[in-house]
Amino acid sequence: MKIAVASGKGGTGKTTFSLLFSKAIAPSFYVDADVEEPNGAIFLKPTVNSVEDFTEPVPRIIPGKCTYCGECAKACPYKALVIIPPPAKKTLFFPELCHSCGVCAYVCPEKGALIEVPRKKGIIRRGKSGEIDFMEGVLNLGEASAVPLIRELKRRVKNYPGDVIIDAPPGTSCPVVEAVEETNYVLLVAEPTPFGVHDLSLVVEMIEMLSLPHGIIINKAQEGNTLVEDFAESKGMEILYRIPFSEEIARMYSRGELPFGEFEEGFRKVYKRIKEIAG
Amino acid sequence: MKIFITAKGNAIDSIVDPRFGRAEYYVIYDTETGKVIGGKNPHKEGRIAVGISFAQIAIENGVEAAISGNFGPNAFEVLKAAGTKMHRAKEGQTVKEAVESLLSGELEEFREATPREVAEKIEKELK
Repeated sequence: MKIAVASGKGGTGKTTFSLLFSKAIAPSFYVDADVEEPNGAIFLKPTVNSVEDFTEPVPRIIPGKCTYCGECAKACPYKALVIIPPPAKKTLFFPELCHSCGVCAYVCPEKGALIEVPRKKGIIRRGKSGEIDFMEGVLNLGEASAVPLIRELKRRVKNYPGDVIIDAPPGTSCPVVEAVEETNYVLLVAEPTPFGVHDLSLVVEMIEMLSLPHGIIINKAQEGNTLVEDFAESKGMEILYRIPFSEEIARMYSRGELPFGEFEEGFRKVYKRIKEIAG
Repeated sequence: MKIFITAKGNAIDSIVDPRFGRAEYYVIYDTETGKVIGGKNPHKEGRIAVGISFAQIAIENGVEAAISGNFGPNAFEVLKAAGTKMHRAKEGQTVKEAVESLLSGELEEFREATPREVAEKIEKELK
Protein backbone atom coordinates (compact mmCIF):
# COMPACT_ATOMS: atom_id res chain seq x y z
CA MET A 1 0.00 0.00 0.00
CA LYS A 2 1.02 3.60 -0.58
CA ILE A 3 0.05 5.84 2.32
CA ALA A 4 0.62 9.60 2.10
CA VAL A 5 0.94 11.77 5.19
CA ALA A 6 -0.18 15.36 4.66
CA SER A 7 -1.31 18.17 6.93
CA GLY A 8 -2.13 21.49 5.35
CA LYS A 9 -0.48 23.40 8.16
CA GLY A 10 3.26 22.99 8.64
CA GLY A 11 4.70 21.78 11.90
CA THR A 12 1.79 19.55 12.92
CA GLY A 13 3.98 16.47 13.09
CA LYS A 14 3.91 14.86 9.63
CA THR A 15 7.49 13.69 9.83
CA THR A 16 7.24 12.62 13.47
CA PHE A 17 4.14 10.58 12.73
CA SER A 18 5.43 9.22 9.39
CA LEU A 19 8.59 7.88 10.98
CA LEU A 20 6.95 6.39 14.08
CA PHE A 21 4.31 4.83 11.85
CA SER A 22 6.91 3.46 9.40
CA LYS A 23 8.68 1.85 12.35
CA ALA A 24 5.48 0.43 13.79
CA ILE A 25 4.51 -1.31 10.55
CA ALA A 26 8.08 -2.22 9.45
CA PRO A 27 9.29 -3.61 7.13
CA SER A 28 8.32 -0.46 5.27
CA PHE A 29 9.64 2.23 2.96
CA TYR A 30 9.78 5.81 4.24
CA VAL A 31 9.93 8.44 1.48
CA ASP A 32 10.61 12.06 2.43
CA ALA A 33 8.82 13.96 -0.32
CA ASP A 34 9.08 17.31 1.46
CA VAL A 35 11.92 18.03 -0.95
CA GLU A 36 12.22 21.73 -0.18
CA GLU A 37 13.05 20.98 3.45
CA PRO A 38 13.41 17.27 4.06
CA ASN A 39 14.19 16.43 7.69
CA GLY A 40 13.18 12.79 8.12
CA ALA A 41 16.82 11.69 7.87
CA ILE A 42 17.70 13.72 10.96
CA PHE A 43 15.54 11.43 13.09
CA LEU A 44 15.76 8.17 11.17
CA LYS A 45 19.57 8.39 10.86
CA PRO A 46 19.69 5.92 7.97
CA THR A 47 22.85 4.43 6.52
CA VAL A 48 22.97 6.16 3.15
CA ASN A 49 24.02 3.84 0.34
CA SER A 50 23.41 5.96 -2.74
CA VAL A 51 23.31 9.62 -3.66
CA GLU A 52 22.29 10.50 -7.19
CA ASP A 53 21.89 13.77 -9.02
CA PHE A 54 18.39 14.69 -10.06
CA THR A 55 18.55 16.45 -13.40
CA GLU A 56 16.08 17.85 -15.85
CA PRO A 57 16.56 18.97 -19.45
CA VAL A 58 17.04 22.68 -20.05
CA PRO A 59 17.70 24.50 -23.32
CA ARG A 60 21.11 25.37 -24.67
CA ILE A 61 21.28 27.60 -27.70
CA ILE A 62 24.10 26.92 -30.10
CA PRO A 63 25.60 30.24 -31.30
CA GLY A 64 26.36 29.88 -35.05
CA LYS A 65 23.18 27.85 -35.64
CA CYS A 66 20.63 30.10 -33.95
CA THR A 67 19.04 32.65 -36.28
CA TYR A 68 17.60 34.74 -33.42
CA CYS A 69 14.08 34.28 -34.77
CA GLY A 70 12.75 34.32 -31.21
CA GLU A 71 10.24 31.47 -31.65
CA CYS A 72 11.54 29.69 -28.53
CA ALA A 73 11.22 32.78 -26.33
CA LYS A 74 7.74 33.48 -27.70
CA ALA A 75 6.61 29.93 -26.93
CA CYS A 76 8.15 29.71 -23.43
CA PRO A 77 5.27 29.95 -20.94
CA TYR A 78 7.66 30.83 -18.12
CA LYS A 79 9.66 33.54 -19.96
CA ALA A 80 12.89 31.73 -19.20
CA LEU A 81 14.37 32.63 -22.60
CA VAL A 82 15.06 36.01 -24.09
CA ILE A 83 16.28 36.38 -27.66
CA ILE A 84 17.65 39.75 -28.67
CA PRO A 85 17.61 40.06 -32.45
CA PRO A 86 20.38 41.58 -34.56
CA PRO A 87 22.33 43.76 -34.26
CA ALA A 88 22.78 42.71 -30.62
CA LYS A 89 22.29 38.97 -31.38
CA LYS A 90 22.14 37.79 -27.80
CA THR A 91 20.36 34.91 -26.13
CA LEU A 92 19.60 34.83 -22.42
CA PHE A 93 18.46 31.89 -20.35
CA PHE A 94 17.07 32.23 -16.81
CA PRO A 95 17.42 28.72 -15.37
CA GLU A 96 15.46 29.50 -12.19
CA LEU A 97 12.39 30.25 -14.32
CA CYS A 98 12.66 27.15 -16.51
CA HIS A 99 10.21 24.31 -15.82
CA SER A 100 11.86 21.92 -18.31
CA CYS A 101 8.69 21.65 -20.35
CA GLY A 102 10.62 21.27 -23.61
CA VAL A 103 8.43 23.53 -25.71
CA CYS A 104 11.44 25.65 -26.79
CA ALA A 105 13.16 22.66 -28.37
CA TYR A 106 9.86 21.61 -29.93
CA VAL A 107 9.18 24.91 -31.68
CA CYS A 108 12.73 25.77 -32.75
CA PRO A 109 12.69 25.77 -36.57
CA GLU A 110 16.48 25.52 -36.99
CA LYS A 111 17.84 22.02 -36.70
CA GLY A 112 20.44 21.80 -33.94
CA ALA A 113 20.13 25.45 -32.90
CA LEU A 114 18.49 24.67 -29.58
CA ILE A 115 19.42 21.46 -27.82
CA GLU A 116 18.37 20.20 -24.41
CA VAL A 117 21.04 19.47 -21.83
CA PRO A 118 20.63 18.04 -18.33
CA ARG A 119 20.82 20.46 -15.44
CA LYS A 120 21.15 19.34 -11.83
CA LYS A 121 18.14 20.42 -9.80
CA GLY A 122 18.67 18.37 -6.67
CA ILE A 123 19.70 14.99 -5.35
CA ILE A 124 18.04 11.71 -4.41
CA ARG A 125 19.44 9.88 -1.40
CA ARG A 126 18.67 6.28 -0.56
CA GLY A 127 19.50 4.22 2.47
CA LYS A 128 18.25 1.97 5.21
CA SER A 129 17.64 2.09 8.91
CA GLY A 130 16.86 -1.29 10.42
CA GLU A 131 13.79 -2.61 8.66
CA ILE A 132 12.95 0.76 7.13
CA ASP A 133 14.02 1.57 3.58
CA PHE A 134 14.72 5.24 3.17
CA MET A 135 14.62 7.67 0.26
CA GLU A 136 14.58 11.45 0.17
CA GLY A 137 14.69 14.13 -2.46
CA VAL A 138 16.59 17.35 -1.79
CA LEU A 139 15.73 20.17 -4.17
CA ASN A 140 18.32 22.86 -4.86
CA LEU A 141 17.50 26.25 -3.40
CA GLY A 142 15.63 28.61 -5.71
CA GLU A 143 14.32 25.95 -8.14
CA ALA A 144 11.05 26.78 -9.85
CA SER A 145 9.15 23.63 -8.97
CA ALA A 146 9.35 20.75 -6.50
CA VAL A 147 6.90 18.68 -8.55
CA PRO A 148 9.30 16.88 -10.92
CA LEU A 149 11.54 15.66 -8.11
CA ILE A 150 8.56 14.39 -6.11
CA ARG A 151 7.25 12.68 -9.26
CA GLU A 152 10.63 10.96 -9.65
CA LEU A 153 10.61 9.76 -6.02
CA LYS A 154 7.15 8.29 -6.55
CA ARG A 155 8.14 6.69 -9.84
CA ARG A 156 10.91 4.88 -8.01
CA VAL A 157 8.65 3.35 -5.37
CA LYS A 158 5.79 2.62 -7.74
CA ASN A 159 6.54 -1.06 -7.97
CA TYR A 160 7.81 -1.55 -4.41
CA PRO A 161 5.92 -4.58 -3.16
CA GLY A 162 5.63 -3.52 0.51
CA ASP A 163 4.15 -0.55 2.29
CA VAL A 164 5.35 2.92 1.37
CA ILE A 165 4.87 5.94 3.63
CA ILE A 166 5.11 9.22 1.73
CA ASP A 167 5.91 12.20 3.94
CA ALA A 168 4.33 15.06 1.94
CA PRO A 169 5.20 18.75 2.00
CA PRO A 170 2.91 21.08 3.97
CA GLY A 171 0.31 23.21 2.23
CA THR A 172 -2.18 22.39 -0.50
CA SER A 173 -0.25 23.39 -3.61
CA CYS A 174 1.06 21.38 -6.58
CA PRO A 175 3.88 19.60 -4.69
CA VAL A 176 1.35 18.26 -2.16
CA VAL A 177 -1.00 17.14 -4.91
CA GLU A 178 1.91 15.36 -6.58
CA ALA A 179 2.90 13.67 -3.29
CA VAL A 180 -0.57 12.34 -2.47
CA GLU A 181 -1.82 11.51 -5.96
CA GLU A 182 -2.34 7.84 -6.73
CA THR A 183 -1.75 6.77 -3.15
CA ASN A 184 -4.17 4.33 -1.53
CA TYR A 185 -4.85 6.44 1.54
CA VAL A 186 -4.01 9.88 2.91
CA LEU A 187 -3.43 10.40 6.61
CA LEU A 188 -3.92 14.00 7.68
CA VAL A 189 -1.94 15.00 10.74
CA ALA A 190 -3.77 17.83 12.49
CA GLU A 191 -3.16 19.82 15.63
CA PRO A 192 -6.07 21.07 17.72
CA THR A 193 -5.60 24.81 17.28
CA PRO A 194 -7.69 27.29 15.27
CA PHE A 195 -4.86 27.55 12.70
CA GLY A 196 -4.53 23.79 12.64
CA VAL A 197 -8.22 23.26 11.92
CA HIS A 198 -8.31 26.04 9.34
CA ASP A 199 -5.45 24.55 7.31
CA LEU A 200 -6.83 21.06 7.82
CA SER A 201 -10.07 22.20 6.19
CA LEU A 202 -8.09 23.40 3.17
CA VAL A 203 -6.23 20.13 2.71
CA VAL A 204 -9.45 18.15 3.19
CA GLU A 205 -11.02 20.16 0.37
CA MET A 206 -8.04 19.26 -1.84
CA ILE A 207 -8.14 15.55 -0.92
CA GLU A 208 -11.88 15.43 -1.60
CA MET A 209 -11.27 16.84 -5.07
CA LEU A 210 -8.76 14.07 -5.69
CA SER A 211 -11.30 11.51 -4.37
CA LEU A 212 -8.74 9.83 -2.13
CA PRO A 213 -9.74 7.96 1.02
CA HIS A 214 -8.49 9.82 4.06
CA GLY A 215 -8.59 10.04 7.83
CA ILE A 216 -7.23 12.16 10.63
CA ILE A 217 -4.42 11.69 13.13
CA ILE A 218 -4.61 14.28 15.90
CA ASN A 219 -1.20 15.26 17.16
CA LYS A 220 -0.59 17.19 20.40
CA ALA A 221 -4.08 16.16 21.51
CA GLN A 222 -5.26 17.68 24.78
CA GLU A 223 -8.03 16.63 27.14
CA GLY A 224 -11.18 18.64 26.62
CA ASN A 225 -10.06 20.19 23.33
CA THR A 226 -12.44 19.05 20.60
CA LEU A 227 -11.56 21.48 17.80
CA VAL A 228 -10.47 18.75 15.38
CA GLU A 229 -13.19 16.33 16.50
CA ASP A 230 -15.88 18.94 15.82
CA PHE A 231 -14.49 19.57 12.36
CA ALA A 232 -14.19 15.85 11.62
CA GLU A 233 -17.76 15.27 12.71
CA SER A 234 -19.05 18.05 10.47
CA LYS A 235 -17.26 16.40 7.55
CA GLY A 236 -18.09 12.84 8.50
CA MET A 237 -14.39 12.03 8.72
CA GLU A 238 -12.76 9.35 10.77
CA ILE A 239 -10.22 10.09 13.51
CA LEU A 240 -7.81 7.21 13.54
CA TYR A 241 -5.50 8.11 16.39
CA ARG A 242 -4.74 10.75 19.01
CA ILE A 243 -1.11 11.37 19.89
CA PRO A 244 -1.20 13.16 23.24
CA PHE A 245 0.57 16.46 23.75
CA SER A 246 3.91 15.75 25.37
CA GLU A 247 6.70 18.09 26.34
CA GLU A 248 9.01 15.12 26.44
CA ILE A 249 8.42 14.38 22.73
CA ALA A 250 9.09 18.05 21.94
CA ARG A 251 12.35 17.88 23.89
CA MET A 252 13.41 14.71 22.11
CA TYR A 253 12.51 16.26 18.75
CA SER A 254 14.74 19.25 19.43
CA ARG A 255 17.61 16.83 20.03
CA GLY A 256 16.93 15.04 16.73
CA GLU A 257 15.33 12.06 18.44
CA LEU A 258 11.88 10.50 18.35
CA PRO A 259 10.12 8.08 20.72
CA PHE A 260 10.49 5.11 18.38
CA GLY A 261 8.63 2.17 19.78
CA GLU A 262 5.90 4.22 21.43
CA PHE A 263 2.30 4.10 20.17
CA GLU A 264 3.22 1.03 18.09
CA GLU A 265 0.24 -1.04 19.05
CA GLY A 266 -2.11 1.83 18.28
CA PHE A 267 -0.40 2.56 14.98
CA ARG A 268 -0.70 -1.07 13.93
CA LYS A 269 -4.43 -0.77 14.56
CA VAL A 270 -4.47 2.35 12.40
CA TYR A 271 -2.69 0.38 9.69
CA LYS A 272 -5.21 -2.44 9.94
CA ARG A 273 -8.07 0.02 9.65
CA ILE A 274 -6.49 1.64 6.57
CA LYS A 275 -6.06 -1.76 5.02
CA GLU A 276 -9.77 -2.49 5.58
CA ILE A 277 -10.74 0.74 3.84
CA ALA A 278 -8.16 1.01 1.07
CA GLY A 279 -6.24 -2.25 0.82
CA MET B 1 17.49 58.09 -30.19
CA LYS B 2 14.51 56.41 -28.55
CA ILE B 3 14.31 56.48 -24.76
CA PHE B 4 12.14 54.17 -22.64
CA ILE B 5 10.91 55.76 -19.41
CA THR B 6 8.84 54.13 -16.65
CA ALA B 7 6.09 56.47 -15.51
CA LYS B 8 2.98 56.91 -13.37
CA GLY B 9 1.03 57.90 -16.47
CA ASN B 10 1.43 57.63 -20.24
CA ALA B 11 2.28 61.25 -21.00
CA ILE B 12 5.39 63.38 -21.23
CA ASP B 13 4.48 65.27 -18.04
CA SER B 14 3.82 62.11 -15.98
CA ILE B 15 6.06 61.48 -12.97
CA VAL B 16 8.75 58.82 -13.44
CA ASP B 17 7.82 55.53 -11.73
CA PRO B 18 10.72 54.41 -9.52
CA ARG B 19 10.11 50.73 -10.33
CA PHE B 20 11.02 49.12 -13.60
CA GLY B 21 9.20 45.78 -13.93
CA ARG B 22 6.21 46.79 -11.85
CA ALA B 23 5.90 50.34 -13.17
CA GLU B 24 2.39 51.54 -13.96
CA TYR B 25 3.11 52.87 -17.45
CA TYR B 26 5.92 53.35 -19.92
CA VAL B 27 6.64 56.26 -22.21
CA ILE B 28 8.85 56.01 -25.27
CA TYR B 29 10.32 59.31 -26.36
CA ASP B 30 12.02 59.76 -29.73
CA THR B 31 14.57 62.58 -29.49
CA GLU B 32 14.79 62.98 -33.25
CA THR B 33 11.11 63.28 -34.09
CA GLY B 34 9.81 64.40 -30.70
CA LYS B 35 7.25 61.63 -30.96
CA VAL B 36 5.89 60.19 -27.72
CA ILE B 37 4.20 56.81 -27.33
CA GLY B 38 2.88 55.66 -23.99
CA GLY B 39 1.16 52.58 -22.71
CA LYS B 40 0.11 50.67 -19.65
CA ASN B 41 2.56 48.09 -18.37
CA PRO B 42 0.75 44.87 -19.36
CA HIS B 43 2.94 42.80 -17.01
CA LYS B 44 2.46 44.90 -13.87
CA GLU B 45 0.34 42.30 -12.11
CA GLY B 46 2.25 39.34 -13.55
CA ARG B 47 3.37 36.59 -11.26
CA ILE B 48 6.65 35.65 -12.89
CA ALA B 49 9.33 37.20 -15.08
CA VAL B 50 7.77 40.65 -14.89
CA GLY B 51 11.03 42.56 -15.40
CA ILE B 52 12.05 40.30 -18.29
CA SER B 53 8.73 40.75 -20.08
CA PHE B 54 8.66 44.49 -19.58
CA ALA B 55 12.27 44.87 -20.77
CA GLN B 56 11.27 43.07 -23.94
CA ILE B 57 8.79 45.82 -24.76
CA ALA B 58 11.70 48.26 -24.63
CA ILE B 59 13.83 46.03 -26.85
CA GLU B 60 11.05 45.45 -29.38
CA ASN B 61 10.73 49.21 -29.71
CA GLY B 62 14.41 49.55 -30.45
CA VAL B 63 15.23 51.92 -27.63
CA GLU B 64 18.81 52.86 -26.89
CA ALA B 65 18.33 54.13 -23.36
CA ALA B 66 16.01 53.52 -20.43
CA ILE B 67 15.17 55.70 -17.44
CA SER B 68 13.66 54.47 -14.20
CA GLY B 69 14.37 54.66 -10.49
CA ASN B 70 15.54 51.05 -10.28
CA PHE B 71 16.22 48.03 -12.46
CA GLY B 72 15.82 44.53 -10.98
CA PRO B 73 18.41 41.81 -11.68
CA ASN B 74 16.59 40.09 -14.56
CA ALA B 75 15.49 43.27 -16.33
CA PHE B 76 19.01 44.62 -15.93
CA GLU B 77 20.49 41.54 -17.55
CA VAL B 78 18.08 41.65 -20.49
CA LEU B 79 18.56 45.37 -21.17
CA LYS B 80 22.32 45.10 -20.78
CA ALA B 81 22.44 42.24 -23.30
CA ALA B 82 20.45 44.38 -25.72
CA GLY B 83 22.94 47.21 -25.27
CA THR B 84 20.37 49.53 -23.68
CA LYS B 85 21.90 52.08 -21.33
CA MET B 86 20.03 52.34 -18.04
CA HIS B 87 19.78 55.58 -16.07
CA ARG B 88 18.43 56.65 -12.71
CA ALA B 89 15.91 59.50 -12.80
CA LYS B 90 16.13 62.10 -10.05
CA GLU B 91 13.43 61.81 -7.45
CA GLY B 92 10.10 63.34 -8.45
CA GLN B 93 11.12 64.17 -12.03
CA THR B 94 8.59 64.11 -14.83
CA VAL B 95 9.32 62.12 -17.97
CA LYS B 96 10.20 65.34 -19.81
CA GLU B 97 12.54 66.53 -17.06
CA ALA B 98 14.23 63.16 -16.84
CA VAL B 99 14.81 63.07 -20.60
CA GLU B 100 16.27 66.59 -20.49
CA SER B 101 18.53 65.58 -17.60
CA LEU B 102 19.66 62.52 -19.52
CA LEU B 103 20.42 64.49 -22.66
CA SER B 104 22.48 67.02 -20.71
CA GLY B 105 24.41 64.16 -19.12
CA GLU B 106 23.11 64.66 -15.60
CA LEU B 107 21.66 61.21 -14.97
CA GLU B 108 23.63 58.49 -13.26
CA GLU B 109 24.03 55.30 -15.31
CA PHE B 110 23.29 51.98 -13.62
CA ARG B 111 26.40 49.79 -13.43
CA GLU B 112 24.57 47.05 -11.59
CA ALA B 113 21.01 45.99 -10.88
CA THR B 114 18.97 47.01 -7.87
CA PRO B 115 19.23 44.05 -5.48
CA ARG B 116 16.05 41.98 -5.35
CA GLU B 117 15.46 42.72 -1.65
CA VAL B 118 15.64 46.48 -2.27
CA ALA B 119 13.32 46.22 -5.28
CA GLU B 120 10.80 44.22 -3.24
CA LYS B 121 10.93 46.78 -0.42
CA ILE B 122 10.22 49.64 -2.83
CA GLU B 123 7.31 47.71 -4.32
CA LYS B 124 5.84 47.14 -0.84
CA GLU B 125 6.17 50.80 0.12
CA LEU B 126 4.40 51.93 -3.04
CA LYS B 127 1.51 49.55 -2.40
